[in-house]
Amino acid sequence: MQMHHPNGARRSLTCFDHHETLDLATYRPDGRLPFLLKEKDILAGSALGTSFRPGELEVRDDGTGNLLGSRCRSCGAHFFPVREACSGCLSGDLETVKFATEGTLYTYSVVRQSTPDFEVPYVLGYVDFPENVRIMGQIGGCEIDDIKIGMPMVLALEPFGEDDDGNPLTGYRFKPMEPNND
Amino acid sequence: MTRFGKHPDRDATDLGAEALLGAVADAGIDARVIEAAYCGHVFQGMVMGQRILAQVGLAGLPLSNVENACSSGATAIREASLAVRAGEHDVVVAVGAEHLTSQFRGALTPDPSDPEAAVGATMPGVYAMRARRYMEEFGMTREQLALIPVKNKMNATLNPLAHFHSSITVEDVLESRAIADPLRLHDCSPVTDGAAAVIVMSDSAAKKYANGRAVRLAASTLRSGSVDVEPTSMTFEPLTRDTAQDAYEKAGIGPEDVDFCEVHDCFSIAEVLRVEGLGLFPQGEYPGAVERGEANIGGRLPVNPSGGLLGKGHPLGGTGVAQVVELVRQLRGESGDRQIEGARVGLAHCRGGKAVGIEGAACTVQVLIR
Ligand SMILES: [Zn+2]
Repeated sequence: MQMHHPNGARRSLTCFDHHETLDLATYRPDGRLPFLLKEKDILAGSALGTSFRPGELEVRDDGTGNLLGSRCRSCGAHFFPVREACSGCLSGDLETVKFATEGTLYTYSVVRQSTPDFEVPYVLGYVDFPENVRIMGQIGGCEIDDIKIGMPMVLALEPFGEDDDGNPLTGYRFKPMEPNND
Repeated sequence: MTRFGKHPDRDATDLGAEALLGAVADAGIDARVIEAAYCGHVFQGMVMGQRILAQVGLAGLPLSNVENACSSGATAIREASLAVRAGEHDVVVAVGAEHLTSQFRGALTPDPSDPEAAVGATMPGVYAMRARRYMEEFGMTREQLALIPVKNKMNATLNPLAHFHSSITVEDVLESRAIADPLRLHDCSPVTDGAAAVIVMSDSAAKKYANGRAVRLAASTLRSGSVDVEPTSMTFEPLTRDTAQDAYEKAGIGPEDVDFCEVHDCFSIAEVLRVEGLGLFPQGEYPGAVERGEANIGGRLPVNPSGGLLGKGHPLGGTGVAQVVELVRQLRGESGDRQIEGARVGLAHCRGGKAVGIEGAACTVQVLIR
């Protein structure tokens, strides 16, 4: 639900652009969703815009990216997003690190009512990463019935609307890891 | 407290003033003995408390406006109790009010600056994820979860001040509009306008003014959520557990002494997580207990006899204060058709707000003893 903030304006960068990736005409009321994110929509090379939130998602020119957070040099705890001090040991000696791109799905939900900034439905999930952090993101690249708690997930970059000057932004989703055919 | 529901022709100031005057009348005091005020709200803009007090002629008092998300009103009561316990004041009013229908539609979200809000987090979505995980871990069925709104909306039919006045069936829940799978419309608390107020007094003031009608506020505790240093279970609430533990210690009781409770059932699954976090039922066992009727009025441990947030409604700032109003009325034996016989110890639990990496933003527990 859209809250009417004292400062009024909604920020355009909180807008996932689903038009190319989710055809609502094919949405089925039985709860199944069409493919949410097609392979071709996963960005590479020149298609990249700048990160929708540079402090949380690093996007590189070669089409790769990582979620960013803090690692405590004193006790080794990791945090998302970047923190000023460690809540485990209160040390201020933190470094910014790139998290792994593969994790495990802790839980998920198909969101069918949201703010006007987000076109519904979309799938929200929490993914646990090997650094011992849990990060929320949208899930794509699969059918809703194929999503299972505990499944391996991988970070995928994707278009995330535009900034106030019309420049393309890049955000992220999690998608199920491809089965390894080796 | 005011009637909870949709009040298109009124505003939060007006509702807050009605609640405040109602509390003064209920206490049987002259409003001029009130020494200080705390006002809980979330979206009503600057100095709402001053607007309410000006409306009833009480301008000039020391007054603080309190925002703590859904715990705002409960936090106002805690602040009032601290002012009295510190000996600074003898009679303090805590009021909570919200005109939510003019502020909101759809789903409540974290603050837009939050990284989770930026990817589409909504409160229903977060609780839906917790529900799915709970179902996976403990085998709770969708039908069992539906029994919670069924119970609370039944209780609300016995509460003339509640938002909803119609009972519903499990089928009604399962057939209501999908909000965030597996949660449906009847699993979610409504957008409600309303206000509530309580007068907090020192022992000496109560002897002087209360005519034996005061109920003892044995504990009023508050905690904010800690930052997770590693992913923790989303099917149990350490924040609720710890806030309750503080309250049990202060009140000199244990969870086994609680006769009934009002808990923050912003969503059906939230009631499960709350009562288990409070130690009132073992983890994983509350859905079965609800199925056996243990949480009904007349059951072993009635939960949300007022109708809770699901049935009575959830005007954010008003919610925590209204819970304490219910406790006071139950403990005085003034609850009519929903009266819990022989109730001596009542507990109210609020928790609200979401920020990235934090289990929950603000949690309060109040223990009232007759
Ligand atoms: Zn540390």
